[in-house]
Amino acid sequence: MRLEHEFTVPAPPEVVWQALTDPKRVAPCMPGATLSSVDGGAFTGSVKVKLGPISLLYKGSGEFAETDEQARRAVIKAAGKDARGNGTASATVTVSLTGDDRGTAATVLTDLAVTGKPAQFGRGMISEVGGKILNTFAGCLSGKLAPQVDAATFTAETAEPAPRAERTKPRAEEAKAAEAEPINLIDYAGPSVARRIAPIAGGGLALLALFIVVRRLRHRD
Amino acid sequence: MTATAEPEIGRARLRKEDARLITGRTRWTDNLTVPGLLHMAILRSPVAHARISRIDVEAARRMPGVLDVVTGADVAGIQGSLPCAWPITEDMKAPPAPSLAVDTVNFAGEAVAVVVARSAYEADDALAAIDVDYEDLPVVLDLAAAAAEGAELVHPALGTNISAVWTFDSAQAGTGQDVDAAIADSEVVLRRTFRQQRLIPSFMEPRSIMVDPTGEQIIMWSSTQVPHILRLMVAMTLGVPEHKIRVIAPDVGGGFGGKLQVTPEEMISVLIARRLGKPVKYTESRTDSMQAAHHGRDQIQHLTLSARRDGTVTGLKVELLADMGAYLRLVTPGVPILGAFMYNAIYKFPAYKFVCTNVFTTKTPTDAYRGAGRPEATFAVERMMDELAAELDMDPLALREKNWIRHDEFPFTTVAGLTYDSGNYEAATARAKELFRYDDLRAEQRRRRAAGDPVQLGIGVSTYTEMCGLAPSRVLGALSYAAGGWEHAAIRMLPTGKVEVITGTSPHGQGHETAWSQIVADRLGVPFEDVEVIHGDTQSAPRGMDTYGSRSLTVGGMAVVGAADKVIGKARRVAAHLLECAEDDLEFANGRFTVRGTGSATSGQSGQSIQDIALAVFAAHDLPDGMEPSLDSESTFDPENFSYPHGTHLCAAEVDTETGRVRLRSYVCVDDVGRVINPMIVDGQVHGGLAQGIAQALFEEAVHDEGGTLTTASLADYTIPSAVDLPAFTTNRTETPATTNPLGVKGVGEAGTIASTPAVVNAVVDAVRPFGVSDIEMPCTPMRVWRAIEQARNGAAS
Repeated sequence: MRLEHEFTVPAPPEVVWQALTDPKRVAPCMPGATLSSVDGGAFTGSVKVKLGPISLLYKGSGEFAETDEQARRAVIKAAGKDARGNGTASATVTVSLTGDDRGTAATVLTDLAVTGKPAQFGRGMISEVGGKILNTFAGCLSGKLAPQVDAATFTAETAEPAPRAERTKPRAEEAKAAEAEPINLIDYAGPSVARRIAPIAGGGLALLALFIVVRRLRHRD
Repeated sequence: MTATAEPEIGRARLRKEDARLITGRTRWTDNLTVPGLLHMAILRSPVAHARISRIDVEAARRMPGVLDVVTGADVAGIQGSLPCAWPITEDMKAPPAPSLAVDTVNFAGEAVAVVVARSAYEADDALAAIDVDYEDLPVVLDLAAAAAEGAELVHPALGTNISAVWTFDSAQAGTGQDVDAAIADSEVVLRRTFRQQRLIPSFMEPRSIMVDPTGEQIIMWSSTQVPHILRLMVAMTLGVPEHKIRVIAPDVGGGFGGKLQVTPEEMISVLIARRLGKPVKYTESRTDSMQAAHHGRDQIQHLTLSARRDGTVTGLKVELLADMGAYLRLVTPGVPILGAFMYNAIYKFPAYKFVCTNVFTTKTPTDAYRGAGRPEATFAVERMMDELAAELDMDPLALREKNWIRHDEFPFTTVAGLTYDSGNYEAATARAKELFRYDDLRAEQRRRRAAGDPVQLGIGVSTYTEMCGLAPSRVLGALSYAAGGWEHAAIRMLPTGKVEVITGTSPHGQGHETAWSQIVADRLGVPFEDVEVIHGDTQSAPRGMDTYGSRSLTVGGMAVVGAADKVIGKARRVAAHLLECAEDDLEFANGRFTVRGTGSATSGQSGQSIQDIALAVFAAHDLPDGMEPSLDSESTFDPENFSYPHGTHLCAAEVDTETGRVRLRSYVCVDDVGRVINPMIVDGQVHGGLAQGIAQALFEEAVHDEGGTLTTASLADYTIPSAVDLPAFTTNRTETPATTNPLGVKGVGEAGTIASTPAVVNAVVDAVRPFGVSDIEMPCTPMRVWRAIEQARNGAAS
C-alpha cells in the first residue's frame, strides 16, 4: 500500500532536518511510539495501537537507510510484529523537505505492508488515519522547534487538526523515559471509519443498524 | 380411518425439524458438553507465505488455565497429511498438507499452534502470549501469474505451481468432432474470458468439533456434512483403528459444500484429545471460519464458441485456470472437473474440448461450494449464448431453442459423454416466458432505450441442466475418485408399529427428516408422525456417503425406498401365514394386507395392518417356518446414471447508467426437478439457491490485499445479501419425471445457485449493451457497472 502525505513545520529546513534524522527527537512526537535503543542510524522501539477491541504492540527495529542532507531526503525502513501475534507491519518511509526560513514543507511517501487483523479490519482507515497522525506529529515537532509559533496555523492547511490532538500532544511531550500511550486509531478516524469498526467491536442492538449502513456502503462500491 | 389417505408424496408438509433448528434449542455441536471438557484455541498465521523460524510457547504455557500448548513440530511425526480423495491425474502434484504448520505457512489463516485451557476464554487469551517469528517468503496471489513460467513458487519442492492439467476432448473420446477444426470452419467465432471470483461458503453455524477419548471408542462430534467420510479419513490419516472411532454430526447449521471437508481442525482435535486423554472442544469464530474454512469458485475461464450465421452452434472450447489455494483438500482438484461435463449444457454441440489447469496460490484452499464446478460451467455457456445472440442480433431465447435438445430427442447422449434421460426445455421455457411477461418487457426495454432513459432495463436469460445425484460408482472410478457414490438406508419396524428410518445421508438443514418421513409413510402406509429419521452418527447409521451434489434424495431416497420394499416383502410373508393364503393372493395398500378379491383392501376392517404384523413378528409366537423374527431391512443403492434437473430462469434488472446501481425488478424461474416430494422444501431450496447465485452476480467476493491477507474476513466486509437486497421470486415448476429412479426425482439442492448467476449478469449486460458494454466482471457492483459504461463510452469516442 502506497500512501502520500504532507505536513508543514514553522522552522527552517535545516532545523527540521536535524530533528527528523535524530530518532531521539522524532520518537516522542510520534503518537504511540516508544524508543528503546539507538545505535547510529539504527533504532529499536515499539508502537502501541488500539483498533477498537484490538490492542496491538508492534515491536521492531528500523534504520535510516538513506540520508541525503544535500537533497534533504531521508529513507527510513522499519519492520515490526505485534507482540500478541496479531500481525506484522513494515514500512519504507521517504521524507523530503523543502522550504525557506519561514517554514518547511515535508512530503512523506510511505510504502506500507500490514498483515493480520489490522490489515483485515483497519485497511480502509489507514490512509485517512495516517494523514492525521502525521499532523499530530507535525504539531508536536512544531512545538519543539518553534515554540513561539502557533503550530495549528501551519498544520491547518493540510487537514483539520486531529481530534484530541491536545490530549495526545502534551502526553507525547511528557513521555521521556516513560512508555507512550497507545494511539487509538478510532479517535483519529473519521465517522465513516468509526462506523466500519463498530460492528467489529461487537454487541448491542444499535450495531445492527450500523451493520446495514455499512453493508449498503459496501454494496455501492 | 378415511377410505384413501391423502398421499404424503407431493404434500407441502411443514418441516418436522424446523422448530428446533429455528429456535436453536437443539444439538448444535457447540451446545454439547461432556464432563471434564477442555477448550482449544488455534493460533493462525497472520501472513500468507513465510518460514516459521521460531515459536516460543513458554509464556503461553504459564497463562492462567492453560494445560497445554502444541505446535506443528510437536505433532509432526503423527499428524500425517490431510487427505485429498480425488487425484485427477496420475501425475498430479500434491504437497504434504499438515493440520498444524511445521516449517512454513502457505496461507493467511493456516493453523500454527494450539492452546488447550480450562475455558475457551483462557485458551483464547493465551494465544496472545505465543511468540512466532515469520521469515517472509514471496506471496503468490494472482492466478494467471502463478500459472506462468518463472512464477514465484508456493511449494518450491514441487518445482511448479501447476498441480495438474486435465483434458476432455470429444474427438478423442469419440463423442463428437474435433473442436479446432469446427472453429476453423465456422462462420462466427466468439472468444471471451470470464472470471469466477473467489467466494466464501458462509454457512450460518461456524464449524465446531468436540472429541472425547475417554471411552473404548473415541467419540467425535463435528459440524460436518460428511460424518462417514470423516471417520474413514481420521482412521487413514492418523492411524486410529477405524472401529475405535465414532463420529457424530448432530444438527448441523448449513454447509453449502463448505462442510464437505475433512479439516485441519478436526484432525487437531483428535490429536490433542489423544495426547491429553481428555475431551476437548474447538469452536471457530466467524473470522476464523472465513479465512480458514475452504473457499469456492476462483477460476479464470477462456471460452471459444463457434457457430453458423443462422445461430447453430458448431463447437465449444474451454480453457480453465482453477485456483486450488495453498493445498489440495478433500475434493479440491475435482471441482472444476465436475464442470467439464456441463459446459455443453442443454445444447447439441457437435465438437467440444475442455482443458483445466489446476494452480497453487498462497491463499485459503478452495473446494466444493454449492454447485461445485457446475455453476461455473453454466455461467460460462449461458453468458456465451447471450453474447452470440447479440452478435447475430437474435432473440436469446430463440437462439437457445435452435440449439437445445428437443423433448422428443431423449434419452440423449451429449458431446461430453453423459446420457440425459429426460427433459422438456420447451415446456419450462414457455412457462417462464409467460410468467415473466417476456414480450411486454422486451417492448418496454425498446421504449426506454429509444427514450434514452437514464435507468435502463435489462433482461437476462439462463437455462441450465446439471448432473445431480452423485454418483454412479463406476463413473467416479473412471474419474479417479477414491470412493463410490452409493447410498445406504435401513428401516426398523418397532413392536408398536412405529418406524425408524436410518439414512446414510446426513442433513445439514435440507429437511431430510420430513421428506424421508413422507416417502416412508406412503410406502409403508403408516402415519407421517410415526416415522423417525435417524442420521449423522456412525454408530446408529453405520453406512453412508453423506450429503452433497444434490444426491440425498436421488440416491439416498432410493435406498430408503429399497429398504421399505424389503420390509413389505418380509411382512407379506407373515401376512400370508396369518391370513392363511398364498403371498400372491395378497394386496398391500394403505399399510394393510388383504386377500385379493375380498374387496376390503381400503376399508380397514379385515386383513392385517403392517403395525399388527410388526407386533406379531416381535412376539414371534407364530411365524412362518424358518423366518427370522424381524421385519428390519436395509438397502444400498448405486445409481446407474446421474439425474438431470433443468430449468429456465429469467431476470429483469434496472440499471442506473449514471450511478451503476443495479436493482432486480423481477425474477422468474421454472425448474424441472422431476417428481416433487415436498413442494415447500423445494421452494425453500430454490429461494436459498437463488439468493446465493444472485450474491455471486452482484455482491460477494473474497478479496485479498497485496500481502495475501483476506480483507473480507467479517460479515461487514463480505456482503452476503439479506432479504432487502433481493426481489420477490416467482418460482414455478414443470414436472418431467426422471426415468432412472423409481420415484422419478432429480434433486434440487444446487439448481437455484446454478442458473441465477448467469441470468442476473446477462440482465445487467443486456441493460447496458447499447453503450457498447459486452461484459462486466462479477460481482457487478455499482462501481464496476459504472466503470464499464464509462470505458465503453470513452472507447467509442476515441
